[in-house]
Amino acid sequence: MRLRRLAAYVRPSLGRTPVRYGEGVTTDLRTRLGAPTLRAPLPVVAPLAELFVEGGLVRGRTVACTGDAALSTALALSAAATRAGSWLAVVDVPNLGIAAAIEAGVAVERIVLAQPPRASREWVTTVAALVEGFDVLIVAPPASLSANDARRLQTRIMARQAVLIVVELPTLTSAMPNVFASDLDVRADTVAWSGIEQGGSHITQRTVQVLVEGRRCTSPRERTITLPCPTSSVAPSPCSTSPHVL
Amino acid sequence: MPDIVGRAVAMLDVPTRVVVVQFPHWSSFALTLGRSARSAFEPVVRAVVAHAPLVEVTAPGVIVFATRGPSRYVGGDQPLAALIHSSVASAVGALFGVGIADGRLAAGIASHHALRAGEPVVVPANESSRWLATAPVRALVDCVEVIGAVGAGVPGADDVASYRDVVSLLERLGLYRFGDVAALDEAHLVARFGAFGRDLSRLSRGLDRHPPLVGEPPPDRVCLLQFDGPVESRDTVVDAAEKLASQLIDHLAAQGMAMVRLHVVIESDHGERSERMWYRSDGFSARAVIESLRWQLDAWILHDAPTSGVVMVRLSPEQLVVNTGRQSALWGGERDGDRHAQRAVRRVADMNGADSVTVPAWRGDRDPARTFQFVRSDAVDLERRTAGDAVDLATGQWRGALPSPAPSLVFDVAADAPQVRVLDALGRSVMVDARHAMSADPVSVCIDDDIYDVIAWAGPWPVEERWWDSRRARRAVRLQLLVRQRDDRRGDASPVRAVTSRAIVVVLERRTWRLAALYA
Repeated sequence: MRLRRLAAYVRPSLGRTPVRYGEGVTTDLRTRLGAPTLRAPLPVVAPLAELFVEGGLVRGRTVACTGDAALSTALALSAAATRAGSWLAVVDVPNLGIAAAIEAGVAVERIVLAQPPRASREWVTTVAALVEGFDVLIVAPPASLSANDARRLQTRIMARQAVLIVVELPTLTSAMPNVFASDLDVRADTVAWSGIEQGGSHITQRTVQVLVEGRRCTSPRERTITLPCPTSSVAPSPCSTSPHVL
Repeated sequence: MPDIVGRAVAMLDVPTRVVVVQFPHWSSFALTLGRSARSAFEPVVRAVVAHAPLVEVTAPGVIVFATRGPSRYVGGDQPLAALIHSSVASAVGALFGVGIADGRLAAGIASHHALRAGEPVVVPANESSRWLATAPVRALVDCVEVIGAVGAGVPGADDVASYRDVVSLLERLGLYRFGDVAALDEAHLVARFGAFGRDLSRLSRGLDRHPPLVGEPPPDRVCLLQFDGPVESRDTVVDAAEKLASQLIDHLAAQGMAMVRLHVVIESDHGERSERMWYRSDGFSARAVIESLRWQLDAWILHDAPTSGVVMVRLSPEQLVVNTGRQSALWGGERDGDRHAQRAVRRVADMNGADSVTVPAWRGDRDPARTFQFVRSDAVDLERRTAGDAVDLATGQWRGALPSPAPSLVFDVAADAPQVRVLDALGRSVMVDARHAMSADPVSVCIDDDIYDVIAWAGPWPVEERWWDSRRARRAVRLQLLVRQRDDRRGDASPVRAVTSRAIVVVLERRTWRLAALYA
């Protein structure tokens, strides 16, 4: 009976109009249910922040990063949060280029890399233990991960108000099946590489088209940005040659 | 009456005669052994402990202990130094020096002299301050571990870098030797360097950094942790001690004191003991106490293999200093988030082994995969970690390293980098001659039976390392490639987005191309 009344109360918010977090119906309902108050979204660097309705990464969510610039985008997404004092755990990306993380603006003193066992249960137990201390987790899930365990991990992420960024690592050819029910899907594809030509110069900049959609996103947003983001520590060098458009 | 007190303080304010055993490049040596700096150092500690039961391991690579007991036992400082030198030399094959002098700084500098001389250096008793007066102030930089960090008085997170700043300033002021600094009024040094000026003045005069505390020592300083039965699990011991340590630190802080030396004794049910001294020039935090205890426990369990569980842990502060507020400057940055992260890391390390959780640390190399090394998380104090532990790329980038932007996935060419084939238009493998000229332009790349067309390329960039050493010399050539997978299935109506195009870096070494990096 009570549930039905609550459901009736929620329904108006499920319309097309985007719900602002931290105000209005949702907050009201949360206080009634005694749920933990929502914490402010984690900050995101300027060019990427415009892709999110809330202006940042909403805590408790799972973000799936795909596309050929998935890892760079995931690092760029977590950069501002680590600068603000959050810790970043990178799980199962043994070949992570730390220099790239620094260029993306990640505070390197707050990166921890973890290599949990590949078996589904142990993997989830380890990541769930990390969630206790880390606000942002970039994970490359193993192929053995079951949907059940993935769901369990997402529940933990929600309870601890962390952000889980699932990246698709390039095996150059195939895409890994994603067992996570992601709240947001971030697709980052490189559209142009600047600086490289037949034998000369080198890559100075990449232009990436980022598309954010998903079940927690009322309308897909798309933007073209350059990586590394201009706000990060290394400013992109001016490029004289025309970009190599793919 | 004040005169009596003054004289008493002056009598107390005599530096202890100490032995310093110092390995200047310990962490890089440990790396060549493939072990963490701490665990690799344990055999050295054991070699020294055989002759001097109570030693202080300040950092991996530095051992300090008082000469008084051991030197009387073996019949003087000279024989003691020779004994320590020979037993350490037989334990490990790294460069080291043994120095004996009054006070930590003089002994530290003596150990550096010993390193160059290849035999121990003993400064005669009561002559250290005169000996020190002729030593260059530059030597401060070599003794960071022995005398401790500069502290909050001088800006700069990195300890060695801030000592360099101090030394360069002193030299620009025309003060080249410790004697010149000692001749100055302490007040002038304090005015120029802040709180560190006082320490600098004391050090230059051959005294220890911290003046002794006078006054009645409160009786309740020693913390004793006794278990009802022998405890086998290391974590239980550490968890129990954690509460005790924070009580001890809080208790001292409430009295306006900080602890710089800590004596830790662990005893098993069968009476086996492990005791060690620990030193932190900036004062112990509760975490630092626990970190020391863990280190000692690990070493004890691994090397002595005690036959029963732990029944007793004793933490006794050996040297207290007036808490000058330096702590708040250093620890003020600590947040709840840092503590939570540290705890989570420790839990995961206990679950899957300490090797499974690592933190990056700058090493410096041309190879993108070797620019940073991954240090076991238990070997670093995460709460004290600063960005200085990983040098920023602007100052730390090596010549010949990959240009910015950096690839987000890197593969160790010497270890696990996948093999690839780089082919020219005729399908022959592209080769590079001695003058770094390619046999032909690269046209396609084969990775795992998949063929990629080369859209653009940059290079070749030669990598020549250690050409002066024929055994360790390395010649390689790098190419940056922009590739797109060759579309064999023309019938598929694949959307434009599905075309995977990637930037990669391939390395040719010993006639084999390998995938070195990937811009993901």
